[in-house]
Amino acid sequence: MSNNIIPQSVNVSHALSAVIIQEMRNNLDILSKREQLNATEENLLVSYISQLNQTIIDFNNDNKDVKIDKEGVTMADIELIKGLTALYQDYLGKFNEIQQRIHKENKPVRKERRQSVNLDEGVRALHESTNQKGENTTIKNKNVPKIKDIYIADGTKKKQDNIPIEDTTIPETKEELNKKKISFDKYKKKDDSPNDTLKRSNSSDSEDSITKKIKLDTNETNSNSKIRSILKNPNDIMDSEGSEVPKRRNKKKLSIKFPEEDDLVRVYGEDLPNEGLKVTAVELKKILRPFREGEPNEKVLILGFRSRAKPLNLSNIRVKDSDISDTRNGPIKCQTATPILYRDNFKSFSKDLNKPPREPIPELNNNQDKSSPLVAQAYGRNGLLLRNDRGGIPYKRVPEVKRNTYPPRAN
Amino acid sequence: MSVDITRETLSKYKAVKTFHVQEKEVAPITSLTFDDHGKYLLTAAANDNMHLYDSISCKFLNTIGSKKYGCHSARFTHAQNECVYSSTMKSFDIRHLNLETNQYIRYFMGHGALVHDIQMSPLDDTFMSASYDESVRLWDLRNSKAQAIIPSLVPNCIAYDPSGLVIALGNPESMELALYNLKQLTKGPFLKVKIENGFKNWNKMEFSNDGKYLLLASSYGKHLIVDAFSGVQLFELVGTKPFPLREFMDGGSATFTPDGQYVLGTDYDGKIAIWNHSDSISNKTLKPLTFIPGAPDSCGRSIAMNPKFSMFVTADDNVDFYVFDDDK
Repeated sequence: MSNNIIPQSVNVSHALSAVIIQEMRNNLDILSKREQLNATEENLLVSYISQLNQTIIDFNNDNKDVKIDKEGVTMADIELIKGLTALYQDYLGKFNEIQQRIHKENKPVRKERRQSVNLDEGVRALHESTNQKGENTTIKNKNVPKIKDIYIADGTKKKQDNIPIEDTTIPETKEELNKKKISFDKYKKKDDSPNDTLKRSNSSDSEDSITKKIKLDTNETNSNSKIRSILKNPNDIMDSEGSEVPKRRNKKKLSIKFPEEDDLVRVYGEDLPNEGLKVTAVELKKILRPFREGEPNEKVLILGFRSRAKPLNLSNIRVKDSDISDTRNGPIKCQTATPILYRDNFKSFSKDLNKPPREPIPELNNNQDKSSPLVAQAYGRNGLLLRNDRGGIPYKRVPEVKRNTYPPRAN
Repeated sequence: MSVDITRETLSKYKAVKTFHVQEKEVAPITSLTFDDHGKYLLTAAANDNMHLYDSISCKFLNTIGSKKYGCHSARFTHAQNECVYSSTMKSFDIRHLNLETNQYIRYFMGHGALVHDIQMSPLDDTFMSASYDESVRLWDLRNSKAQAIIPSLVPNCIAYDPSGLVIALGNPESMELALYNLKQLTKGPFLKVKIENGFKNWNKMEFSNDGKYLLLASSYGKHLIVDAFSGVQLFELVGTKPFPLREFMDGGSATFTPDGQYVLGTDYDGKIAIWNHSDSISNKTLKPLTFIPGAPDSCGRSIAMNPKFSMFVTADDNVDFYVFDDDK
């Protein structure tokens, strides 16, 4: 073994540059002091861990033949390899610690299982009982079964990380929450005049609240009851003696299903007629879920359209003995480096696509590539661009993209 | 069950859904693209958002925000989780985005003005870009620097032939186009074509998948089909109402069907025209075989057909989905 103090045999092609190490060091300080990380910081942490893991693997692989007993290998080589490996593992360990700490702190408390509820029978029963009593029957008629409080979920809240927000309007403490006021003006109908004159005022103390209470039979909490709380299992929260029990941890969240009936839902509130506004469940969903920022609203043009596009029959048009690529129905296989997993049937799009993407990992070899692009021969008038005077051709202004001011149709 | 491409089946396509954004966000959609397998549609709009759709079930999936750099001419690569698109702000770099990690993979740097069109090679992981900096550039997805530059006056149009070995470069204002062999760029084009009859408002070029035809599409009520080998003008497609003049480029108002036998085109009267050139004698002016009623209250100027499934979309302010529907 040589006694040369300068490393000579170490392959550093996969080693992290000093710039990246410094960046990691700086960010390690910052991240270790954070109690919680935002999405950008978490992604950065994950990318660092992944980068360090890969670097350790590649660096060790590159230098697996650099051993003490090999000719030409110096102590300096061995120490450099050990030092760099120790450095990467040290950083990796620290980043992993931060990740574990953050995950531990962020473990969410599981919400209770939400039962899917068919309100059909309950509301029908309500409707029938009020009709039997004739007009001007109020919801507080004594013959209407007593019901528990239920709050309709506020669908106007935005999703976070594409996960529907757990409904925090469940009135465990019956506190009123401020909710976004929605104008129902566009859904007003002049001829909407039902026989009964039920009116429900917004009983919320908060001016912005759009919660609406539907009463269920408080006496029917046994298993024979056909109506159950849509937001929580009352048996989980209060036992028969009224004392609280610990919340269960359940992963599954079942959705509310409305049957297809035009007169199932009647909406009351500000800017609405006193007799209420009759809407279908689909319309109600759209009322409660207005536009999300940056997202388009869907309008179905064919009622009940649920079809999926069928595949085209392209087998009889394949051109054999040609040089057409298979991406254009030809026989030549596409020479892409894309793994098969990502060529078709991919579905795992990021849930943060609406957020600014992270910047790319800097390329280490960029400065080394000093080659110039090949310049193809221009044709026709394009050749004038290569002349000093451009052949007198003026520069073209880049057109501005403006919103259309013309109507959607010629007529 | 698969669907043939015939006059009968094409006439049964119907507008099934329209997607529109809030009034304050309305802006022209400047590009439409399907992935290789026709599963996803990606649109880019002038409001700096891209939208991802499931094209088989015609459902909106995600907004891909690009408020920092803007977005234009978005294209899938051969991976369903990756796209490239041009920037309208900060710089004119082309950005390669991983849709699984929401991280940029690479920036392709070099253009000095807006890149108004990007086309992905059908053969490999290369692509080309056309810019207002008077150049067309060829790129490899693995390298941030351009592989080749072709000087070109603006406005210019680009297209790959279905083999990926030949590219077409068009200059509408000088009414000429040329075909280059990608392996012999320095020798210049192997075919130069002069467009006749004063047709100079085309803003899109597209080869048919059978390699026989080259479509020059415009928004002004007329399109041309030339022979892809000789450049001879074969057909003039007329019979649609022209859209109001507009300078900036979009996805194009006509497109071949995946079999290359028909052309679909948008009409300012709110219809989709269908021409059949493959059964016609050349050197003719063709009128539409039939029309498909357009989506109501929508002005679909651009059109793109799914390469594998029986659906197509039109777009401008809205995105309208049309699906083959033989239910009576």
